[in-house]
Amino acid sequence: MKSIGLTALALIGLYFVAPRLFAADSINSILLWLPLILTVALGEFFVVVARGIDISVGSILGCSAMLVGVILRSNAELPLTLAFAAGGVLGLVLGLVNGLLVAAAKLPSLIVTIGTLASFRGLAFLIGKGETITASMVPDRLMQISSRGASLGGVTFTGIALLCTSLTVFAFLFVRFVPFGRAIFAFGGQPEAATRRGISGERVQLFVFTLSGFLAGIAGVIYLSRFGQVQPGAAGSGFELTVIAAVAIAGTKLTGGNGSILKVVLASVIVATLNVALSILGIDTNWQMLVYGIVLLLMVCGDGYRRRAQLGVR
Amino acid sequence: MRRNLTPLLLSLVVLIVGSRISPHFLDFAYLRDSATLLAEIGIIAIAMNFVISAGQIDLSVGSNMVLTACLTAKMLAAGLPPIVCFASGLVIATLLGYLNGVLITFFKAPSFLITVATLAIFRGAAKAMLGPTSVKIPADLIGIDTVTAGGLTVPLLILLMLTVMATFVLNKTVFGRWVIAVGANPRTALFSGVPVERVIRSTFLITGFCCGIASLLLLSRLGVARSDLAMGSELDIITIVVVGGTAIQGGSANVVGSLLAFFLLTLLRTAMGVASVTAEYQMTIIGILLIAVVLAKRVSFQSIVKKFKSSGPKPT
Amino acid sequence: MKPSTLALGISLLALIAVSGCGSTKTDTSTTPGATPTAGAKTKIVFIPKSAGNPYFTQVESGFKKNADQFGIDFSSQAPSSADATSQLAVIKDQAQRGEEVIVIAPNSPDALNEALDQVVAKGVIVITADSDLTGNESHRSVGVLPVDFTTIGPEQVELLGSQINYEGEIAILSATSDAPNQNAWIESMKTTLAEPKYAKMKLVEVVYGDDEPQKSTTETEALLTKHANLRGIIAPTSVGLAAAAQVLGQKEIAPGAKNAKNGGLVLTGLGTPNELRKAVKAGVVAKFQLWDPADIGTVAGYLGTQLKAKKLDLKVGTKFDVPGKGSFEIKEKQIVIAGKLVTFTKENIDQYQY
Repeated sequence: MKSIGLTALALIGLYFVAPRLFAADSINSILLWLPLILTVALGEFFVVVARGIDISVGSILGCSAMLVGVILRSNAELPLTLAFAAGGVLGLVLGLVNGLLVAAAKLPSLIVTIGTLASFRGLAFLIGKGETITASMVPDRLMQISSRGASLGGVTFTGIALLCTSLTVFAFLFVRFVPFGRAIFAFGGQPEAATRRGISGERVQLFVFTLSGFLAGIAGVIYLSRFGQVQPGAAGSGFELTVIAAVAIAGTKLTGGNGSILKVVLASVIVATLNVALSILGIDTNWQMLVYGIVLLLMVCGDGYRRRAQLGVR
Repeated sequence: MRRNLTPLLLSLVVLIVGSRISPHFLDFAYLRDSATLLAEIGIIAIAMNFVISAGQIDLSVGSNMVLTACLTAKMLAAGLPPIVCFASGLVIATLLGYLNGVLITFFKAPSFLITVATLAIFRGAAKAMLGPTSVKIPADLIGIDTVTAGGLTVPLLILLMLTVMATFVLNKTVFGRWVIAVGANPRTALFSGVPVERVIRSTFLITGFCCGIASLLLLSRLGVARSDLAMGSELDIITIVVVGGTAIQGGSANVVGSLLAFFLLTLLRTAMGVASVTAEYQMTIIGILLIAVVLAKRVSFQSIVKKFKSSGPKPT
Repeated sequence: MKPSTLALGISLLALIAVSGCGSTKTDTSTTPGATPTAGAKTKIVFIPKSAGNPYFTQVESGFKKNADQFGIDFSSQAPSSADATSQLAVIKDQAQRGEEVIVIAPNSPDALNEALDQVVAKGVIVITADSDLTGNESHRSVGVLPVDFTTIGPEQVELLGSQINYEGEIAILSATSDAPNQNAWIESMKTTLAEPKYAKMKLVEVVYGDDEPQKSTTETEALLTKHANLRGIIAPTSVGLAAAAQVLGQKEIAPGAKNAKNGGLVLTGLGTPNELRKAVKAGVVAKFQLWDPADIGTVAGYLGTQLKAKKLDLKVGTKFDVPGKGSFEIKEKQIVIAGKLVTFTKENIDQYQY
């Protein structure tokens, strides 16, 4: 709970430094970033808890956005549920490829996903034959789920926010109440002990990578809905670092077994806020990367420092 | 030798396939110059063997190289004597690498996260310093990549030299054994008296130094420094190290393998480039190659091997 | 001997993969001796900024359309990303392939200098297209620019001004801060804004969307938050303009839309008709501009053949005719202007399919 206190403190501090960040418009901007980051971060969270890492999420997102764009281009009347299903299924299949290579072939996940990062990016080109999806090809119905929704005091709670919220609740309940959810943590904490207790490591790994792929696939449809344009080379490119940053800022141990969904949500809010803040505060475009890196480093080191203090190291 | 057979044989295959699909491929000078184009990446990959075999990873290497190149170019443009600038460049890069090591060991933070942050910070610093502009270096310092000795270009010779040195250090010195021990099991290493944290810092220091060498070569090759050079090169570097046979989990190193993997990647890229294979296929194929090579290490082919042995494998 | 088997397995895969996709590209030009007419045709390769960019597909169509008439053996090869150094290997490979003319849309105004000099030394003719090696023009023989860049400022500012009664706060949403074209255009806009006619239009900020939808969207939204009285945005980049149009459409704040304040926010800029078609039809963007990218390909292709045949003198002021396109002139710094700005509106946008 300490982290929540710190976040609250940081938010209050930020309010005095940059009140503009708390205007309804800014919060709307953050709320539009958040679903994209959080949806993928949830999947990455489970992967990291199970001692893995998934670098390929950005490419999976790109593939899914591309595929759904291509489908909608030729079939504008497609029900949105099917559009999401198509994106989700493609993500699931690509995630399964990662999962099989990690679980069945016992390859290090970093290497597997660096490889699929490149291969899936190539796939995004192949799906759309190298063409770009533009807003003209995306039906309004899909675009509206990221612009319309319940409004309160100028802050709009959009369809994609709702979708992301329900995914988060599912994830939370899954961790809390489903035995397999807890098994992931057990496996990540002590794989040998977990295996002895009858938890199948392969199943855990297969599951988390497939889930991560699925969520990245869903995020691809969110991306399409939000931006309406998909370039095969650029869509989702580099997104893995944003997501891993969120999971890391949440204090999820990269060595597995530890972490909380609530903190991932908070961390995703922080990352989304940071993205928006860099623009809203008018930080010179040439300085944004540096500021971003420093904030990330402070977060990572701060987490490490806390752990040091807890351990009583030196 | 035997464990390096894979990249060697694959290189041979690429050579043969390459010469089949393009008549322009088998041309020594061309292949040499293409390898020179990637030599900086190869040099950092050689050094990355230390970090990875110690169970760590350094994603900030590309950014380190670019920031150092920008700073060195600034000094050169300010009219300082080249030798001073080069020396300072090497020192800067070494310190940036060391900084990673210090942060990782002091905060007990995963190297992956620290170096993701410094990846942004180093390149961010270069961008904040230069913005959209670029710095040109004096004309007489340009073109080290075109200077040849014994048929090879200077960057390739440096790459070979560093390979020999790294192989020696990792295999024949106490420090080398410590690095492997730390990567294999840091706890055991600590109990057996290995200064674990110092070893980890040293591996990052070595990588930083090689980033410095690479940055000077890059600078001389391009003649200008700007903040947006060599984006994403860290993934190429890790690919080379892993294809070369160094385990990403740490505890083993194969420097010669990295060198061979460097040549394999160069040949593959060049073959595809000269055959005008489109960019998306190139990406896909290199990604698949990476996975296939590690996969092959895992999956036992013993039974298939036996079958093939009798008939004898013939690469076509 | 485990590795050898595996090598065999992978090599098989590589063989299939490389030869499979290579075959689509390795046309007759790579097969030695198969092209007896090679002397008649000029081998031209176009290197765009990156793969998967529809704008450059349109540029390529300019080459292709005229390939037979001009005698061009045309191909194109894109780098996988738009990094400053990603084109280096492509330049080297294409020269090795025996291409006689390299037409390139450079990703960097100077990082390619040495690589270009090396292929020029081998007798390859280098032409820049779409953007130029600004400040490093000596590393190419001629540069083909889409329009006279000094006209972009006046035209764009007028386009916006006429829609907001030449009054109010405006902002510019650019691509990256290191894109030479963008910077030239922004300068030209600032010069125009200094004229008395535009005295009441105030440029409050220039922001950069890095040519990414995400960043462009966030920057647009931030502009709206930061400047409550903003009347207009100029986005001289396709990705930025499309992203900004998306924001305006979703917030419904364009002139005449539901949430429009003090007359609504007017958006204009430079973009391709395909990307903006929907926004224009929905009334989110009334007018925007671009040139026909195909013109760049047509002119660069023609120049390539003429330079190869040594039929053209690159002295400043030389005039030449491109068949079917009219007369062009070699301007200062060996720059050729390929076309002019077209203004797209709801009425005419369907005539343009790119």
